[in-house]
Amino acid sequence: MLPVQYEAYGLRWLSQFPLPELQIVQGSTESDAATVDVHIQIADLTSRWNEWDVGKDNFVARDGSLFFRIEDIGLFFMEQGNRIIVSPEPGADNKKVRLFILGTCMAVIMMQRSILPLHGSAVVIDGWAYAFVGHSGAGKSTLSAALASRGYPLLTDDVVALTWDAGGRAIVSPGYPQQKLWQPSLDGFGMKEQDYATVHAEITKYAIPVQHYFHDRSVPLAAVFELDPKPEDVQIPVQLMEVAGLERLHMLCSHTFRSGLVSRQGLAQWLFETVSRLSASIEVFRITRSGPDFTAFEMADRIIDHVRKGVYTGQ
Amino acid sequence: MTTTKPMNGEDRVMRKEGNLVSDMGGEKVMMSIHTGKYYNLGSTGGRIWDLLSEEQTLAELVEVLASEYDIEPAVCQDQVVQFLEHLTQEGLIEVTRGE
Repeated sequence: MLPVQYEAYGLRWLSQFPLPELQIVQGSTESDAATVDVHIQIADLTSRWNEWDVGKDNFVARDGSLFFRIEDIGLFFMEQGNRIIVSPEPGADNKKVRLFILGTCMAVIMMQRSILPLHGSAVVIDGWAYAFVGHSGAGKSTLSAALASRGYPLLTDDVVALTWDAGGRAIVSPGYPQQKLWQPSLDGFGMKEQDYATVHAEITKYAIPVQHYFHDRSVPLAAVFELDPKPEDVQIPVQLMEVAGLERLHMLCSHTFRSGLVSRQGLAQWLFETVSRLSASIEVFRITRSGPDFTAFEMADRIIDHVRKGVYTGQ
Repeated sequence: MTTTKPMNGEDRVMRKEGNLVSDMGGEKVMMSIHTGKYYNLGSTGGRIWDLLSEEQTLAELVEVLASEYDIEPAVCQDQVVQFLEHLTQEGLIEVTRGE
């Protein structure tokens, strides 16, 4: 059966490690190997890790490669944007190994290939992608789920993969049809947690298959919204503000997925150029709210209202 | 550089290392790796930054800019000095006093 060709983030991944979250490329055969962008292999990296002699550091970059170790999980090696080699620790939980392959490893491959990985979700409204970035727990996935329930399909959850088309427009590639939601969001949507598997190590976070509202083609990016919830107990209504100029650069740099691994790989100048270019071609907003209530639907309606007013004129 | 003594044409100006530089919609933007601060030099400031890819005297800078921007050299020098003093305060360039 294995290896299997998968599709995610605009790339073909041929994997020896089963990745059931991803979309399988239908009808692919061994002879299609030329269409593969990234190989995911299982091999023993122990001697290579010892050769690299990295001391106490758990993340090392060298010659276009990044090597990292996670205690009790395994060793992970990403090479030249086209190969991931994994050595799971004996007895390591495959779910935990997959969290690293689907997250950090894929994001590093994107950086090596000059694809910008933002930490966030994106949905499609009227043929344009709208991305939601923010810190963990800010409500990115919940907001995109609320928009999906209003009929706007999900393009990606957790990582927004950005490239450029021939006309210089920023393009978001589809991720894979799964959403991770926390308990309060399940409650807000009236979903029952016993129907869903937990995302490992995050015991109150649930993996929701969303095949029925997944958008599987690339779409140009219109705007990025930063979700910035305030912790106050007092209810303050949802506010939407435009973010201008240099503040955009800071925002987009700080919401790059695993941004700490960018400069480590010598890619700081690339990231700065990429976010400068992006800042000049899209709209950027910040959404704030506070209070304990579930406001995802209110925020979704504000965004739809804003987008539909035609404030964004396209290019 | 002391702020009490005004710059003169023989002063030599040099970029400091450690900044990321890019273009944002025609304006030169920078980020200092040391401080994490962001700057927008604008388009004219960006041109000055480009000219500083090699050490320049103030007089050399003013000569190029006055011809490119069709501005009186004396007026140009006043504006360039203000801009360079700003960059010096932010630690982005180094000015060496001429003879």
